[in-house]
Amino acid sequence: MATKTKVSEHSVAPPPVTTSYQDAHEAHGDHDHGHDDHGPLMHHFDDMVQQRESITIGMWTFLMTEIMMFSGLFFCYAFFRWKFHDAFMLGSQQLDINLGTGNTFVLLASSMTMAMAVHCAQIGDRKKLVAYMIGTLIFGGAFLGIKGIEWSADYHEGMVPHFQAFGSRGNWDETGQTWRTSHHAHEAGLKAGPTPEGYVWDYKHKKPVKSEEVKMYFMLYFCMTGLHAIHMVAGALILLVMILMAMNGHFGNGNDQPIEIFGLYWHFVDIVWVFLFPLLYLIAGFHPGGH
Amino acid sequence: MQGSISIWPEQASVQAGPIDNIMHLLNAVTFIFTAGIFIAMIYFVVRYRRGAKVDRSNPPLEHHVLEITWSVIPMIICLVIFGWSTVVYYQNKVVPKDALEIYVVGKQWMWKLQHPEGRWEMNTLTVPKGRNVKLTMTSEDVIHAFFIPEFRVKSDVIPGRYTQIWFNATKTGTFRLFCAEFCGTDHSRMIGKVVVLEPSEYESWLQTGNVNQSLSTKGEQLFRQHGCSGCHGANSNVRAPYLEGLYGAQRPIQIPQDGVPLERIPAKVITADNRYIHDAIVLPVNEVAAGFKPIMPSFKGKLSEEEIVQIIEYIKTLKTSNGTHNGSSSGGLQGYPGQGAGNNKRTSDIGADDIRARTGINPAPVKVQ
Amino acid sequence: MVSTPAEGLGLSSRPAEEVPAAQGLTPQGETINYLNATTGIRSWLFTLDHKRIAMLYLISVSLMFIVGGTAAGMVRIDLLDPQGFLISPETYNKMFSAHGIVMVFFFIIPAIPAILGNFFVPMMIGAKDLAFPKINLFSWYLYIVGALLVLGALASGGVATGWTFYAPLSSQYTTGPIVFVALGVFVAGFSSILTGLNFIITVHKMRAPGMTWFRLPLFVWGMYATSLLQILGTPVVAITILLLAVEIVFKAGVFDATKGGDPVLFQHLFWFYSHPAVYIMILPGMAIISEVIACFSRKPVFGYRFIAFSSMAIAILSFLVWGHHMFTTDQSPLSAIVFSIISFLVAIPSAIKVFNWTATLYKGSVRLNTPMIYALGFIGLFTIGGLTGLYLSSLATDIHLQDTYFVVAHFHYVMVGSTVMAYMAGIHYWWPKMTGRMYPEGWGRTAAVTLFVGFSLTFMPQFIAGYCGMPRRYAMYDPEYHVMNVLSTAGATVMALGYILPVFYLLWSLKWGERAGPNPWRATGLEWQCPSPPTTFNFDKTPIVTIGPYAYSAEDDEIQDARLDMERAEMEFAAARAKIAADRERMQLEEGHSPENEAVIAQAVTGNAKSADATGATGKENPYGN
Repeated sequence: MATKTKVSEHSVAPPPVTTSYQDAHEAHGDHDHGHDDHGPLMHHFDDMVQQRESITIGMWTFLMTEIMMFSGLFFCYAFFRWKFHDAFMLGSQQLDINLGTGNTFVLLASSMTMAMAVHCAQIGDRKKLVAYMIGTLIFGGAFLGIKGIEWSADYHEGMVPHFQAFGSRGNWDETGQTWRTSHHAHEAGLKAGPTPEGYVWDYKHKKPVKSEEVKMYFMLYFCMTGLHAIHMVAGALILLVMILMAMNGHFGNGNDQPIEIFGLYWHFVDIVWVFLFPLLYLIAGFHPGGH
Repeated sequence: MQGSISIWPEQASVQAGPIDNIMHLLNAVTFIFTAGIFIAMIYFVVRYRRGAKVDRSNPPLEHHVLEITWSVIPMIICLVIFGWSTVVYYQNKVVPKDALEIYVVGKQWMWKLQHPEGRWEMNTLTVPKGRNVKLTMTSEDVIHAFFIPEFRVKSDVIPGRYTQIWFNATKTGTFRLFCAEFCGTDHSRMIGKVVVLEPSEYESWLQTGNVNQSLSTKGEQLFRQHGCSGCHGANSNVRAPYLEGLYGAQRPIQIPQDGVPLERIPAKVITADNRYIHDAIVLPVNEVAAGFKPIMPSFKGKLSEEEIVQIIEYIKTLKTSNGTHNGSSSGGLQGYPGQGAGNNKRTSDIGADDIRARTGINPAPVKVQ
Repeated sequence: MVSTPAEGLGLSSRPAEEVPAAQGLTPQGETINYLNATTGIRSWLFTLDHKRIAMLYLISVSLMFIVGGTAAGMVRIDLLDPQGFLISPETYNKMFSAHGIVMVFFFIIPAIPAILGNFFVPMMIGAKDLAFPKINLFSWYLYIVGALLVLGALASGGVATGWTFYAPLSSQYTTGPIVFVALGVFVAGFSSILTGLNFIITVHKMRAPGMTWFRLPLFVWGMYATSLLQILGTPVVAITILLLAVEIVFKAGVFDATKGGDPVLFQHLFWFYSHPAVYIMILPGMAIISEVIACFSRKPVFGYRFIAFSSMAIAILSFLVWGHHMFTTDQSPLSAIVFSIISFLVAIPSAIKVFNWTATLYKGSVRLNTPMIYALGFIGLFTIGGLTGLYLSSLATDIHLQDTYFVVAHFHYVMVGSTVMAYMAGIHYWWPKMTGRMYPEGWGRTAAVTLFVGFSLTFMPQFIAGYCGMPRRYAMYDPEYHVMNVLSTAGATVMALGYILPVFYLLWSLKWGERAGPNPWRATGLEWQCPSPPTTFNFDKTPIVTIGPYAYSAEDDEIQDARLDMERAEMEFAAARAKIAADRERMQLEEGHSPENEAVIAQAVTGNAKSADATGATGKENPYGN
């Protein structure tokens, strides 16, 4: 390990040569948390380079596990999209593509401000750092807000499957007249074709589609966007804490790595959305979304 | 302690022998390697025990030739076993054409077995000796597994799918039947027996006991009861495919795609087997008989798996008017509406050219009777 | 000095006087180490020291082992009678489910990585701690939360799904707190992921100067391969289990055939993780064996590179074989064949390891200490466990054997016969390092042999019952299998003894065991250069590594042993002479007894006692007694 060879020349605290009975760990920790030019070097690392690299690789490895976790859902998505192609097309039409597109841009904007925040942390500009992080938080919050509006509309229009127990006005086994596309088609004067029981009519493709299969689309839609949103919420909470810390000057003196690490996470969550958006919203081609 | 100690299960089917032969090979490999390792280990431990006066100079730390040798030899052995085993597996997988078909429905916690002639049994499977028997199985609830140790056959029984196994019993007698996939509280009581009779006894057995109407008769009743005959029947005004000679035939279907009018979707040919008919009943819009509109309602939840089996049996009995069971000999489109005058009153609906235009398939000429 | 290893020689590589001065003393006069550096319950619950976290894991994992073991005991007792001896079928189902869930997710997956890996990976590579101590502690808390969720669920009725949670049985056809069990497994999965992540970064970035990849001890290689599986496989099962919970709570239908879902999809997702999980369980075991075999045959491991690479080969191939759990489902013949051949291929690296371990014994100087007996037992049982895996990767025979006791016996041979034996080997090997105390060697050997015999008696009959067709998870069974089941239960009793014995003597050793000294086995490896128990930061100075991990020489050891034998004989001889001299002096004094001679008598008696003590003390520290 090249980084390790610096051990002798570096001013690292020596291992605890405690000759009296005392809390070796605590005593050591006190030394570590003193703010020197190198930022806080944790006790078990030899130098800052090693610490930085470890933490960065750690985050990348963590993101790898996150990818594997999402991949389980993406696999289910692929499987069922192959199996229930038509239902996925119909389900996709029910989503509000305008809100989805808007949300994509909001999230991309938050990624941009996050990138700026990382840069500001590196050059040590505390004011701008705080400003950009607040910007990121606002964009992130806006994304969650818009997502909430979407979900709420989905719920009220009865597109959340299997929620009847919770008083949803779900109307899945009827002909789907409460759906957005149905409204839209109704207004446009289109008529549904022959729709057997248990089916809904796809106005765009002019054929009946099994409602059970559309439910599968929506189940996956809620699982995938839900898991994504959980990551967003977690990210926003961490971001909030980090803003408060940044205000107290916690990330000065070369201690900018936490910002960078968090930025990695934030971009990852953003990228997941970049995959979710086309897979969920765009697969049916352009559609007006009903509104 | 009742029961004798058995260390090898009886061989009672044609499958058992070949599988046991592979077992013997595997046992031999296991024994030789295990014994070799144990002997080597004990020999080294004793010979090179601490304090023993032996030559310990120049111990080898690596020996690539040796290591590669003992990587390659096991690999060759593995490949031999793999090859042999796969051949046997494949032979056991391919169901002989002449097999007697028995339907099995598993549900918590019982087996229901239906013979095509109508006799049904609970937790007992009676089969003739020396005849290929095919079991077509599905489950009404959870995953079960149908397992006859003496026959060395097993298959999971999965809701929403048909699985098949076949065997050929070589001994008369009573054998055990187990559910092998954990299926809930009384999993261990989901057992039964397999009774193998001489073929003649089997014939007379079929006539006695709880002789029911045959599966196909029941299926015919269901076919009317649920209004299938309203569309698929001979005198129907709704344009629906005829089912005569359907079973086992090659049929063109269209898989609807979005945004593409049905007329432009090229058809593909599938075999109208159990899976196809089952799905056509419960998921009719997934595969539409080429040239027809996807208007059939789903019967999911309205027909139990047993009833679907009965309807399939009924459909099997529907023969084309020229008496052949199915039309594999005549190009695969026999019994298809509109391709010939012979068996179709509604020739005006869709003609051979029409099929060609819509599906890209050349219907084979059918001789008019 | 009557105690067990005393008949040997004084072999301690570092006499007690050489304890590094830096260690210092506690007010009680003990040397400061990680165990007594700080005191109080808070110092344990908020510790960031990887060694203390390992000890926390040791305690919690052992408690979970007792829970899982009790369930296994109930299962085995119930099977004494074909109609069920003790409990109802429903309770039986809950018992084997509890056994599986607890043992797989809360014992065997965390056992070696989280206890021994946590303790020794940093020490072996010359680091002060794992890369992320806080995450390490956090992962222990996750483990505890997961364990509490599962224990709570078991206490409030339990679940009867098996550890595999197959849908739709688990999602629609069983009641009980399945969601809590699922969440518990989910949370524990993240504990495992974080541990793996920590190891990967630690191995990549924290190695001491000179500790190149091919100077890593094989234990570290094994841990690295395990960690790869943990971080890549576990998230998939986590999301699968989460989907199952969604399926149960919201009736999602993803695995429900009546709603267009697919029950076999669950199996694919589940086994995509759970087959690599099997290697998460066995790779650490193999890793320990490489260390123990080398140390107790006083030889470098034969074919270091082959063993290291075979770990990585197993890690990679294990992701491509999950389909062999589903040969009897409606799998297409082509995919079955592909999964079959890859399953055969994954046997090859395992075979290489077995051959290399055996070859390591050649020209060694073999000492049958407790860890070595466990390790040799491991090799034997793993050989059988591995070879019976071929029966199950071979398609034709798998059709017959799938879901029978043959499978049960096979994976217990690998999981218990191999991994648990290795775990016990590791615990005994490193116990002196972890606690600073020696356990009684005689009891240790007894327990190791007991475990081997009990295990073989328990599971060998299950192979036969399985081939005769006894399906697994049966609360009641055909009387034909009665004999095999009684044998198996008898074996389980012996095996239980093999587990209970170490609990007693290891706990006993904490207080009354002899002081171990830094390196009682004269083992190489950086962890043995620290004092026993180590100090909080392991190394006084970051060590600089110049040689490979197994600098053993059987020849030199034999010579050294012979010399020490001679020294001991000389010492005993001198002691005997001193005693005779003292006796003679006393007799002379008694003849001429006078008050002014009293002091001389007292001095002579004390001196005699001292020299006798000296003999004993040297004898005590010898671990390699015959």
